[in-house]
Amino acid sequence: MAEAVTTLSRLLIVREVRDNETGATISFHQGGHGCLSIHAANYASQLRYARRSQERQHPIGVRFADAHAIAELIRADNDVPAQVWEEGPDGVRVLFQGHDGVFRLKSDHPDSARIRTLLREALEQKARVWFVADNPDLVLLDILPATA
Amino acid sequence: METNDQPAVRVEWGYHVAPVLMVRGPDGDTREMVFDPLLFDSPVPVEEWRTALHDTPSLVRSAPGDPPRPALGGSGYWPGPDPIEGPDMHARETLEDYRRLTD
Repeated sequence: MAEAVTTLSRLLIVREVRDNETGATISFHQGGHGCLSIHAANYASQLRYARRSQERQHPIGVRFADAHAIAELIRADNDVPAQVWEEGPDGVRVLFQGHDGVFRLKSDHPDSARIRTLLREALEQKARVWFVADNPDLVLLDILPATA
Repeated sequence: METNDQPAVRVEWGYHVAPVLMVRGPDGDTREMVFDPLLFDSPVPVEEWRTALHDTPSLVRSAPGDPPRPALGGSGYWPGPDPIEGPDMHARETLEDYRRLTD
């Protein structure tokens, strides 16, 4: 579980961004908060992502280093799944209508069941989802319905 | 297709859009020329552009402002409904992301 906490990104919506001497404290509508260090790589870009999430109320990918330290903020993207299929032990493959490339959900993702269900529902309903993926491997890290 | 900076690498995509203008050459003749800075440093005739893409892609023509395939929904930014934040914003922010990856 500890490994999952330190390596997985979750989609969250920013409620508030407070600057301070050491960086920024960012709180989320889903509860909780985290500190983004001013020494983080691409601090300015990551802070921009957080402010966009707050302004637009769109989700952002958040990877925590520990309970209250943000390791990374990742821009979330959105699209409509066009194909979803199982492929051997590697998990699920996903084609989106707009994006190039085959995205994949690894079978050992701890939230795999929820994400699979969500992908299949979105496919059936031709519904848009928010997603965050590792680049350039296109490994899906989290997905949310776009209406959430 | 091959890339200029990484000859061993091939890039694939299923949807690619470029503007076409009628251009009058020095000889007075007009030709349809494609403006695609991703593939060429200067405008090229449609057939040269199509050949560079390999795999003989289907060519879909649409009037300025019209989506190439209206049945897919959206503005034609990509083959589906437009992203929530709008095509221009999405394009700008995606390019910012790529730029950050290569910094």
